[in-house]
Amino acid sequence: MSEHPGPAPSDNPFLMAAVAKPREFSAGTVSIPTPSITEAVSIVDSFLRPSTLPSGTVIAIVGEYGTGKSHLVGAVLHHALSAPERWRPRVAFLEARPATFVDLYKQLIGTELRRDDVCARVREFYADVLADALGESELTAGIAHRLRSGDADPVEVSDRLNLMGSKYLTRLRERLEAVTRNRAFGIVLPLLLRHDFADAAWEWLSGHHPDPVLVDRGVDTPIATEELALEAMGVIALLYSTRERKFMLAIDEMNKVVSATRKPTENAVDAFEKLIRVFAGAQALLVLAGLPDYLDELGGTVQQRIGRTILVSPLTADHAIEYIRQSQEAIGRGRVLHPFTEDTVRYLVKLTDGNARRIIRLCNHLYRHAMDLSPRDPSRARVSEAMVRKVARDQAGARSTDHVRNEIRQVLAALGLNYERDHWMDPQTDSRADYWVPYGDEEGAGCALVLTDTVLTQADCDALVSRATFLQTAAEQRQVLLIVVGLLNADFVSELGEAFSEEPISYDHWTFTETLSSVLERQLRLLDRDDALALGEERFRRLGRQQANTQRMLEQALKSLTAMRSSSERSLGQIQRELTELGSADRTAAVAESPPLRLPPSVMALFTTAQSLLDGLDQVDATLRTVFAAAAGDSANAIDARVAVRAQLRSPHLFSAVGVGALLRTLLITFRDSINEWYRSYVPSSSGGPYPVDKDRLSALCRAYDTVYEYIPFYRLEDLDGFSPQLVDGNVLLPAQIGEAQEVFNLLSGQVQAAVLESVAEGR
Amino acid sequence: MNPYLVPAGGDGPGPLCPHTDPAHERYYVPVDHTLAAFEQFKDAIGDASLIRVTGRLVVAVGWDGCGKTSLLNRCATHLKTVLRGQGKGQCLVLSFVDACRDSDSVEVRENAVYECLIDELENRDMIKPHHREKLRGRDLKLGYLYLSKFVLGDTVVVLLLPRVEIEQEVEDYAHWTHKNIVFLVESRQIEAVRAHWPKIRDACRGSTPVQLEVGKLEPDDGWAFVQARNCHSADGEKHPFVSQETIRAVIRAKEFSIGELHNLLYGLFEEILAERANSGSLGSGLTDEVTYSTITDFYFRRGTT
Repeated sequence: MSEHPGPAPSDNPFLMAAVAKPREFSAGTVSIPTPSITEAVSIVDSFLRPSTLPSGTVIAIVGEYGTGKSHLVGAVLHHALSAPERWRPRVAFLEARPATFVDLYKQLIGTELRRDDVCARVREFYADVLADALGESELTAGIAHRLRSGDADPVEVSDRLNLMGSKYLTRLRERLEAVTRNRAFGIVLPLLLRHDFADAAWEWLSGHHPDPVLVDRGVDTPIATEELALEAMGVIALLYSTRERKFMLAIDEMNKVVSATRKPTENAVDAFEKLIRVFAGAQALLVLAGLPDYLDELGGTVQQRIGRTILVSPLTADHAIEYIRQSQEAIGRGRVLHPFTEDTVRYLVKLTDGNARRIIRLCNHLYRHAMDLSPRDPSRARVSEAMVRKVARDQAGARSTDHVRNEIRQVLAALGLNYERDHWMDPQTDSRADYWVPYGDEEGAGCALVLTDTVLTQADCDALVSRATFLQTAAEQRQVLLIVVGLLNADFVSELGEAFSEEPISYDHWTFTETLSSVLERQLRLLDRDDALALGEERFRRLGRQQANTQRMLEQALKSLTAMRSSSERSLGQIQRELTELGSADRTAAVAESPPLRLPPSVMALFTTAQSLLDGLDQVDATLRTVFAAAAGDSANAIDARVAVRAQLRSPHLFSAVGVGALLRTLLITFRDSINEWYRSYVPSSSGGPYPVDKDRLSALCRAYDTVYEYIPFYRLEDLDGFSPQLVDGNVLLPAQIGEAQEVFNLLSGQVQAAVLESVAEGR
Repeated sequence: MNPYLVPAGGDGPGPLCPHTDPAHERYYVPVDHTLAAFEQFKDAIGDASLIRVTGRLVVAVGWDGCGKTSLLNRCATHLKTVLRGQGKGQCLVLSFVDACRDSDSVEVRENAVYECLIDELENRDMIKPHHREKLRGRDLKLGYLYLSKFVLGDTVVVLLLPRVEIEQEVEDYAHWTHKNIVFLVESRQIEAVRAHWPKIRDACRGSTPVQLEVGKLEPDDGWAFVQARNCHSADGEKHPFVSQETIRAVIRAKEFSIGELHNLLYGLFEEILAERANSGSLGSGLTDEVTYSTITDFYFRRGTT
C-alpha cells in the first residue's frame, strides 16, 4: 500500500491574495501569536470569564493597510467561538463596506441576526415572563421549569392553557423596554411573537418605514438615521447580553464608515459614544477595526471611553520566519524555511516594512519563482536577495499597467478635477507629472501626481527626489504626490516624504482609490487655505524641502543636460521622419476617395451629437466667417467685430483651446471613420452575430479612442467661451454647455461599442 | 356529554351569545365580577329610551378569557329586550367582531366596521337611494352622524365591535356616538384604556360612556362554576366528580380566568370521557373523582405536549 502522497513542490503554501477574511478564520488558519493577537485574545478571555458584574468593554484595533487587522479580528472571533458552550457568546461580525451606520445596522439585523434568531431571543424573554408567573404555584411549577430550560415554547403554552396572554405580553413589553432602554423596541419586539404582526415588526426592525399598525402604536420613525442605527445596535447588544448570555460584535474596516473623507455628524459621534457606554455597561464586547483615522474622527471623548486600543504592529523577521514555517507545515511539508533563508526573510521584511500582506504576496511569487528555476531538483531551489528584488520589480511592473491609471482617472473624475497626462512643468528638466491637476487661480498652481514602480535602491530614490524638486521649483502653489505601485524600501520612506508633499502612497488594490481620494482632497485643501499662518507654515516646509534637495538637483541638472542633448537630437530626428511621413500620407489621402459612410442611424446619431456639441463649443470657424461677412457690409459693424475678435485673440489661452478643439474634431472624425471601416470589413458569423475577432477589433478601436482622448485637456475648451458669432454680432453670449459635451465625449467609446453590437444583433 | 361544552354543539368552549340564542342566557354564572359588571351596565343605562336621544358607548376591559365578550353579548341582549319592550321602534344587534383582523391598522378596522354596517342596513332596505352617496366613501364622523340623523329613524343599532387594542380607536368611537347608536367595545389593554378614559369621556358629548371591568376568578367562583355546569348537564350520565376543596385548591394555586378554568375542565372531561368510551366502563360519578393531582397532571400535559 502506498503512503499518502506529500505535497508537490508546485503546491504553493502562500496565498496570492493575502487578504484575511475574518469569517473564514479556522483552527487550520496559519496565525502567528504577535503581541497584538496575544493582547486581544487575553481581553476576550477576561470578557468570557463568568461574572455577575458587567464585563463589557470595547477594543479598537488600528493599523495601516495590510498589517493584519482583519486577521486579528478573525483570530478574536475564532477564539470566542471556540470557548466552551456555556461561556460561548453570541457573535456577530460586520464588514463595513463603504457604508453608513445605517447600512451596518441593516447588516447586523438582516444578515448576521436573522428573523428566527431575534424571535428566538424574544421568545426566551417571554418564557421568563411566563415562568415567573407560573413558577410560584405547585400546579404549574413543572411547566415553569420547562419554560426556563427552553424545553417548552411560551407562545404554545399560553395558547394551550388559555392563559391571560395579553397580560403576559404586556409584562414582556415592559421587561424588554427596561432591558433595551428603548420604548419603540419594547413595543415592537413582542409583536414578533404574534403571528399576524410579526411581518410588520420585522420590517421595521430591518430599517423600513413603520407599517400603519406600528404607527398606531406610537412607532412612527424608521431606523434610518446614523443616530437611530447606533442606538438600535446598542439595543441589540442589550437584548443579547442578558439572561447570563454574552454578546460580541466585531466591525471590520470602520474607516469605510468614519474617516477624514467620511466625517461623522456631531449627533452620530454622540450616539457612538452612547453605544460604547451601552457595551461597557452590559455583558457585551465591541471590537472595532480599521485604519487609524476612524478613531481620530470619532474624537477624544469616544477614544477615552474605548477600553483598549491595539495598534497592529508590523511583522518582525522572526514572525515572518515563523509564518513561513507554519504555512509549509499546514500543507504537510514540515516546519521548514526552504527555499527561503533567514537572511532573505529579513531582507523581505525590510523591503516590505513588515507589512504582512506584502510579505505573504511576495512569498507566494518568490516560492513559485524559486521552484520554477529548479524544476528537476526542487531541493536546490533558493530564494536570494537578488531574486527578491527581481520579483518585487516584476510584480510592480505587472500592476503598473492600465488598471492603476484607470483607478487614478476614476478618482479624479469623482472629485470633479480636470487633469492633463504627462505634463512637463519645464521641458528643460525632468519635471514630468504623470497627472497634472491644475487647481486654484494662481498660474501653475495645482497638484502633480508621479507614478513609479518599485523603489528598492538609493538610485531609484534619488531619481524621484530630483524629479520632485524640479516639479516643485516651477511654482509656489504646488503639491507633488508620489504613488508607488510596487515595493517601497522602508529606508527611503522618510526621504521621499520630505521631497514630496507627503509620504508616498503605496498602491494597494483594495484601498487605493479611497486613499488617493483622501490624500488629494487634503492636499488641494492646503492650496485653498487663505489662513496666512497655515500658508506660511506650508511655504516654510516647502522651502526646507527645496533647500535640502538643492545639492542633489544641481547634480541631477548636470546629468539631465547631458541626457537632454542626446534626447533632443533623437527627438528632432524622430519629428523630421514623422513630418515626412505625414506629408506623403496627406498627399495620398488627397488623391484617395473617402469611403462612403455606412453607419446605422443609432451609431451615426452618437457621432452627430458629439459633433454638434463640439460645434457649439468651438465656434472659431463660424466666428471668423461672421467677421468677414461683417467686413463686407456695414463699416461700423465691421469695426466692432474686429475690435471684439482682437480682444479675444489677446488671450494666450485661446490658442491652446483652439488646438484642443481641432484635435477633438480630428479624433472624432477618425474614430467615426474607423468604425465605418469596421462595418465595411465586418462579416457576420453563421449565427448572424459578429465573430470574436470582429468584436476584438471593435474593442481595440474604442480603446484607441480612449487612449488618445485621455490625453486631451477637454476643460481648456472653456477658454473658447467668448469666441462666438454672438460676440461679433454684439449679442448676449449663451453659456457654453461644456459639462454636457464632456460627458458625451467621456462616454462616447462605450456607447458606440454598445450601439454597434446592438445594430449587428438586430441585423441577424 | 361533556358538561363544559358550552355553548352546546360547538367545537369547544366559547363566549355566550344570548342575542343569537336566547338559551345561552341561563348559562351565565356570577363569577369574576361579571354579574356585578352587568348590574353596573344596567344601572348606567337607566332609562334605555335615552339611547334614542344620545346613543351610548360601552367599553368592557379585562384580560383574555375573563368574559368580556359574553358580558357585552349579554348587555346587547338586555338593550334589545328593553328597547323592543318599549314599543317605540326596533333594536338591531349587529355583531362585527370578525369584520377585520387585530393586525389591521385602526383606519382599516374602522372603515371595515362602517362598511359592514352600511351593508347590513342596505340588506334591510333601510338605506334609500338618495342616502347612498352621502354614506359611501365619506369621513366616518359625518357618516355616523348622517346615519343617526337621517337613516336610522326609530331604529336603535347596537354594534358589537372587533376587539380593540389601541385606545385611540375607543376614543374615535366615542366621537361617533350619536342618538340611536350604541357601540359595545371590548379591550384587553386595561391600563391604556384607564389612562385614556378622560379623553374618551370628553369625546362622548351628550352621554356618559360606561366602563365595565372583569377580572380573575375569586376563590369561590370556581366551585360556583362547577356547580352551575353540573346542574345544566341534563343527559343523565354520571360525570366525574370534582369536590369543592379540589376546585378551591386549584383556584388558590394560581390566578385563573373563567376562560382558562372552563378550558381546563372541558379538556380534562373530554379526556376522561374518551377513556371511558374506550374501556367501556361507565364507572361511578362518586368514585370517579377528579383529584387535585389529576388536574395537576392534566394541566402539565396540556401545557407541554
